[in-house]
Amino acid sequence: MARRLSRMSHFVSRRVIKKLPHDLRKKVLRTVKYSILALWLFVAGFPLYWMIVSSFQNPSVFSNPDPQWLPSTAELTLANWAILQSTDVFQLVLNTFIVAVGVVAIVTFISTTAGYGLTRLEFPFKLTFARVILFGYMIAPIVLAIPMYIIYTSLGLLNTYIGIMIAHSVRATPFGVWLMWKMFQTVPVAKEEAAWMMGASRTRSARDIAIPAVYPGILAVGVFAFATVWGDFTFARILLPNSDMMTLAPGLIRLTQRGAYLNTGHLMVISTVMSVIPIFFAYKLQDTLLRGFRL
Amino acid sequence: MAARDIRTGVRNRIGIDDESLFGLITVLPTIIVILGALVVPGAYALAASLHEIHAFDPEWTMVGINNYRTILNEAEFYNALTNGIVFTIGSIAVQLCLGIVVALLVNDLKNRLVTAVTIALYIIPTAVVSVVFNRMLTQRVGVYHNLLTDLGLIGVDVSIWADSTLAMLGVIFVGSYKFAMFVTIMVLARLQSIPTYYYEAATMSGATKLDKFVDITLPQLRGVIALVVLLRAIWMFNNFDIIWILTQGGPSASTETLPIYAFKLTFSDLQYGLGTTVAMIMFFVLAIGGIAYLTLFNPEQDVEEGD
Repeated sequence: MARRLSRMSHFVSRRVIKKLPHDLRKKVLRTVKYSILALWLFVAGFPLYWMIVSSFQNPSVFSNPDPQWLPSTAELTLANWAILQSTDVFQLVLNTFIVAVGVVAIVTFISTTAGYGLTRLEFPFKLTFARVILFGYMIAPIVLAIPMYIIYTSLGLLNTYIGIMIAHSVRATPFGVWLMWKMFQTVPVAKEEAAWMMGASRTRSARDIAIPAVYPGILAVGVFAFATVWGDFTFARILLPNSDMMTLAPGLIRLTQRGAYLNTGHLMVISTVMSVIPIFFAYKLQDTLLRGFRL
Repeated sequence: MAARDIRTGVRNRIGIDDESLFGLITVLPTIIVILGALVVPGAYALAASLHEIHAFDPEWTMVGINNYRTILNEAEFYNALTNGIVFTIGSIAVQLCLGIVVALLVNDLKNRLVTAVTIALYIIPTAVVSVVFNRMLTQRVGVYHNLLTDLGLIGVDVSIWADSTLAMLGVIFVGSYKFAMFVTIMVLARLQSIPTYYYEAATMSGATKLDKFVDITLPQLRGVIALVVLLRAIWMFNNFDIIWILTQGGPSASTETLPIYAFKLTFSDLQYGLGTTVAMIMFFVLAIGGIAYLTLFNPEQDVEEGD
């Protein structure tokens, strides 16, 4: 079957494709490529486009039984964006940022030290450690969140920033350690050896030579940790039940249930705000992030 | 091993050389986090699943494996299990097809904007994806609902979230919009690490594009595809947020999977013992997946390379 297909492809290549003039072939190829690109951007981007457009539309539009793909200029308004001035929404954003900053600090620190140790040092149980890290990568939040809720209730950690930070750290750490491990492997050990010859200690060579060389990796780990917190629903829903402590994702869902007071436009404003940061990071840091996923 | 030659320490009094000690110190913070937030809750869940616990009563009553027995006799448990399997298999099928096709396209285009859109879709919060799709699929006034009606796929009066089959399809597809991009990202990362001289050598020997795809690209992707199927299977089986936000397990429990069932037992029925029992059952499934994953993944290789 495969061989027959291969023979056919050779036949087509020789008889059809190679017969066409070179520049025509290039032109056709480019057209095909760009139409696929356009199609993909359309399919993937339409919900995002709709979200952004809806955030600028009059509430009356959302009860129109014949929704339009293109907004009419008469219905555009900035009124929905006023929701960002409400204290509720401000509190959600603030909570999310506090948790995110804490988790980013914890995860970048522990991933960098562990990444260095795993790359440069020999120590007992290294393999077991690698296994546990990989296992931690698969763990699903709901499985941890239920026992954590019961533990936190008795420890008084429910509705606290520190409680949710601990929960998030364990989710972001495996990816972080893994990425930093890979990153440190790209720093030649010879550079550190040169420093040791000059009398530098290992801590010194790590701080002044190895770590500055992996800044992009640290940045990517930080972004990943941030995205984990930013997008999380499960942990926050269970471990932060109090509405004063709520973060953005469960907060958004809570607002959807208050239909009379908020319309789709308001919700889309919050959704847009929640999407902007991930999109920015995805554009800026794609190469390093992709490296982290090269498992 | 170069690092060892210079810096192998002298064994100190407790019999560990400096390097091992320093190595252990570097991973200590990670171990603390893993212990505190993974091992302790896991052990606690196991203990709790063996007790009868009432929400407002600090007294735990030891009941042995009775909770497991109760759960395994519940029709709701089997309903949740079946739904979970349907949801997992459906999601994997959609995500794998979509994810691989998009990865091949994106890799071919090598366009930063397209790559960014792909990664962005994966890191956009699930809550946002769910709310946006929920509104777009609203009966009569939603854009996608109208599109589906115009295409003749559903009737005008049909509400997607009120029909058990459509609700299941809905959660599968909305989930796949986001999570297929995980497949894409993993496959893309692998595609970009295939050495270009493989393709150059093939071109020199007169291979067509199809030959190169079948003989170079596919074999190179086999490992990552197996890994992705396993990871996504585990994650979709244990996924809580997408289903909870879209349907809360409804209509009439037709999208209720094990995570939803565990959540309801714990937080609606306040049956902590039974809730943790279901969580433990999910954990066992996860652990089986984990063993398969470690076998497939082979960290030994990386540990050796990593030195």
